[in-house]
Amino acid sequence: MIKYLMKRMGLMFITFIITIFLFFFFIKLMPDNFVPSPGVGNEWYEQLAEKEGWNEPIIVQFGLWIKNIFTEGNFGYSHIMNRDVSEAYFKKIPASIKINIVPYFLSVPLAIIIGVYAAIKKNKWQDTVISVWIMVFISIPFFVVAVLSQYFFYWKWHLAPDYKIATASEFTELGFWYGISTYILPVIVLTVVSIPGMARYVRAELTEQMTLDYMLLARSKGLTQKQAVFGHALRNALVPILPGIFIGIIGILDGGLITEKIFRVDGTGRMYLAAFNGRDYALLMLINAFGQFLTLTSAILADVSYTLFDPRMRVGSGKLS
Amino acid sequence: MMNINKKDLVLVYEDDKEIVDVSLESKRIGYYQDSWNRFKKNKASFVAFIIICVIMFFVVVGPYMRGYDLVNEDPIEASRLGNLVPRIPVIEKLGIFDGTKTIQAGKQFLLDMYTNEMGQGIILSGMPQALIDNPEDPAYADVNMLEVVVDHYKYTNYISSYKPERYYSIISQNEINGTNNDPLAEVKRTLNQEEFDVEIKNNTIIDILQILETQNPDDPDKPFFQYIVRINQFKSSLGTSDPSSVYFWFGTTDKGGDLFTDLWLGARISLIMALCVVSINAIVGLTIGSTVGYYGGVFDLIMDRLVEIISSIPFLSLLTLLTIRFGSATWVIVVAFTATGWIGNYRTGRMQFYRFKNREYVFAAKTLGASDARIMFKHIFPNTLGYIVTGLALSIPIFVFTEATFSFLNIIQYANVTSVGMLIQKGQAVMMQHPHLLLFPAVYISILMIAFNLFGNGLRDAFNPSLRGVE
Amino acid sequence: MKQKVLEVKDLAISFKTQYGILHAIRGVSFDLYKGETLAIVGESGSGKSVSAKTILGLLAGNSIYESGEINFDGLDLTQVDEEAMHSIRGSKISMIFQDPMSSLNPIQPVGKQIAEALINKQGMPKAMAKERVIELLTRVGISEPEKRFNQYPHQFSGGMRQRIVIAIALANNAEILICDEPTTALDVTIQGKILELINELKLQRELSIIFITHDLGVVANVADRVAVMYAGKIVEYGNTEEIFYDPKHPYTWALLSSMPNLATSKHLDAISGTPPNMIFPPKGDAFAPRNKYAMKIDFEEQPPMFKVTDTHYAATWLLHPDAPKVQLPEATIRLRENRGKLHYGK
Repeated sequence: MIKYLMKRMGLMFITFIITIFLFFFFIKLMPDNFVPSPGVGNEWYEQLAEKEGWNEPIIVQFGLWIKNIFTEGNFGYSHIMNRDVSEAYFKKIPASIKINIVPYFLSVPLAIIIGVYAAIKKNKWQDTVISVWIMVFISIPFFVVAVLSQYFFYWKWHLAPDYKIATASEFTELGFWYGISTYILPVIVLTVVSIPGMARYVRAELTEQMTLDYMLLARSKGLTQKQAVFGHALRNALVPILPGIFIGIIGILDGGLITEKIFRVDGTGRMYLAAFNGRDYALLMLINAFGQFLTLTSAILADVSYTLFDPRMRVGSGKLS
Repeated sequence: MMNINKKDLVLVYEDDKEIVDVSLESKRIGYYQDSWNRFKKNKASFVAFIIICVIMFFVVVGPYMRGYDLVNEDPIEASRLGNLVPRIPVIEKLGIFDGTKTIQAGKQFLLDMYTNEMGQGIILSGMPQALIDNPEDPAYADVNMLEVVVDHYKYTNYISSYKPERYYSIISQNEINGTNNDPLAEVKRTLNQEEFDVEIKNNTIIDILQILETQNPDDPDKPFFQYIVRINQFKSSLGTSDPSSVYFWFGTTDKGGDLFTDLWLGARISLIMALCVVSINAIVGLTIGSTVGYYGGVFDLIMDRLVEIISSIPFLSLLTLLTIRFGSATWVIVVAFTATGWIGNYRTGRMQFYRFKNREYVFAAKTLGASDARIMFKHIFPNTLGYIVTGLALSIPIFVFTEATFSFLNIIQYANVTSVGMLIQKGQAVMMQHPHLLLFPAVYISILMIAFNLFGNGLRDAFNPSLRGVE
Repeated sequence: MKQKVLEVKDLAISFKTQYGILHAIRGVSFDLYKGETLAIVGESGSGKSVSAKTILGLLAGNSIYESGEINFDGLDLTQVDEEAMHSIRGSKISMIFQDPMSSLNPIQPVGKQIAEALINKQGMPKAMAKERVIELLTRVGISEPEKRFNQYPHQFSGGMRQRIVIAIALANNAEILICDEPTTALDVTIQGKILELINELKLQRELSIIFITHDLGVVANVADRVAVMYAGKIVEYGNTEEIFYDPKHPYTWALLSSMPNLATSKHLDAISGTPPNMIFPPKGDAFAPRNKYAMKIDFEEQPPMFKVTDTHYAATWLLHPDAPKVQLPEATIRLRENRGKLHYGK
């Protein structure tokens, strides 16, 4: 199994290098991607040109980019921010985590509970209500839900203290509790919209597991419906779902563009939009590479968790160990 | 023993006659007929299907229903009709979408409007009786702003043709600062002789404030006249002197465009693009996928690696890089959505063909000498069609969803068209003052998404009865 | 007289389906005596499995109880609540299923799955349960039980899995074992061994077994009595000998004729036609349209159970005293002629 994982990781590493090189290549080809020369005799400019290899072929520049990451921790110079992009970018991660972490830890258990409840009450009215709710929130785009919630809860009904979250200065001016209270609306919205997808998945998996023969055997050996569902079906249903839950943890690091735009979170998502609007290529390169890194790490994590939770994967199917 | 007729105790079949399987007595129903029957039984999906048809009708016809194009003919005049609230015939009687709006304006301004002839019937409620009886009422001495309910159409006509909202504040500012700003500047028009004649003919002029005379260098006997006038905005722009007969069903945008028209235009753009993207993805993905699935071998191995790399490129990165490089022309967006979008269809095609090619009936066809192409099109494709159609039906809402999201984020910004996502983004910026600009596009996209998802689910259940209930 | 342990009386169950009400069983009655094996034989869809699942109260949610009684231990199982049913399942009545592949939880070690029955039912401490499980595994013929205890179902072969299922079913010393086609999914060589195991356990523990199958060959090996089901009704029942050597119902004849047999050199007689659609059950004898010996009355009226001997009954108008005498099918005659020469029965 370790061999299999090593092979997967090797392949993913190759994929990673190829894709970020493609990003790099494409970004370097942008016609306006250069640091304007401030005139002759600027030492720092020449040093930078030397360090990032601006006059070299792209493949060499790519090599230098990687080298600089490992030797100096530099991810590229942004002439828009006048500094190395990584400093600015990684500082924004905590703000993104702050807004994402509570919805994540709320939505996972709630989604499982709701999914299980719907599966147990399958075809009863409770299931119908949950299914309708799931359908609505899966269908309506997140940004619509978020914007409408701002409109109704803040502008119309005045239930929320603000339509955006408090900034650091507002935290100090208006007090900690006020600051926290501005988080309530976005946290609720994020939780409510992240439940349905997973709840639907849980419901589907569990309904399928409950129709399988081993449930009949479990019942016929004397387990109650409850014991059989929670002892057998639920565990089996969660096997394909758990990797997704783990990937969610990584997703916390990555701020959502929409959330951060709508609720004015000063996190990585907004930085991405700023980089996009300001054509900050060094920053775009960093964010895309980092995003790609997170995606592929999640994929590996998913593989590992599959093998952890499913004994069939662990020992190789059908073979005696 | 039971009382039975002995005559019934006789054998009915001849000795040697073989009993053959009787054919089923029901009408023969094809797979698609059967699927359609199942689909019709699923009420939610059937309703969704009807809603989609209605939406399609409006997408085709909607942009032409209003015949209102002032934004393109005369953007400046149109913008004077901006942000009108929705007014829908019949529904207005229910008290919603009746063209009324609660506004805040200066006390003096409102009083003046309430009393003068041009302002009759604008304020519907909210004007304090005490103030009407006595404009100097001491109870209101410190009140500068009042909140009243107005007929927003008449009100807009009043402020854009007769007296601007800022009239009295400009006057008082002039007094304080000693400046000499014209309080009527916003509504004054300067017309030359020809324009003046046209407006006279249309009878849209409210009053003539001033006539300017300038020398005609060619003919000193015939000087040029310029007329500074106030004209009735609705009458000159919309051809009706009665604003209450004007209906903008969904209201107007900040530029004075009809939101109803804009919304369906935006919807049309995204749906046409959705069809393009979905069909390109389907054709490319399914062709490659089915070939790979059917033939397998080295080709399969190579494609497998290639697909893994392509599919690992995040859509967001792809879209942002492409739009930065090439702008937001529709073709760029289509390229962005198809560059990695065909992978899903590729996998479907590959999996389905791989699965069906090992079925006995395919072997049988092969043994009978059918060519590969015949097997693929005649024997395998029809079996996978239901699955594929379902996938396509579900990928239309996914496109609409994604496109709207990125328009909303301003990552997609079409130069000369407005998509629904962009409408919502603009609406969000002014949702406090003009909620209708947010609500209509938001409701449209929500209904569309729900309808498409229900429809897709219904199709899936109809084509795969065994999957029913297992989502 | 043997002790009657289970009595099913006039049981009728239907299912709500998309296309209408499906009448799965329409008045089934049989008794089960202590220490005997009753085989229920019939085509798929004849209602065998439904009868069995009804006894254990394991029907799907869309089932409708129409009428009838299931008397066990002084209780009518169609009327008892889930709580009482739960105390019967596993400890009094147990069941094993057709596909051992899917009837075990794939992600739980088998030992745990057997132990669970003990811990849940008897409140046995874990360590003791493990000991008992190892005993059980040995009993059902699994070697190296200690090692096997922690293995997962996919690490076992089909036959071994079925042994584990049997171990689970018998963990709490059930008195009645319902076997729902337990050997259908297995290789023929393994089939025999599993049947042997079931027979052994039956003798050892005085089990009463309801054995559901469509395979008459298997019936001959295990059954003391046989009930033949068709379209939701029992059409004939009697001792194994009686059913094999003196069958009365045309459907039984047809079944016997379609059974491969070393003595037959001729081609097999398949039963032509298809079973009736149970959403619209036929008015008369359900088998009539496929029956070579059908009489006019078969299409009009359902035949009652005619008594052949004290133990042998059949529902066919051919047993009516006024019915014409018919020539028995060749296969059944040959079977009777070869009685004793072939290895049937135990």
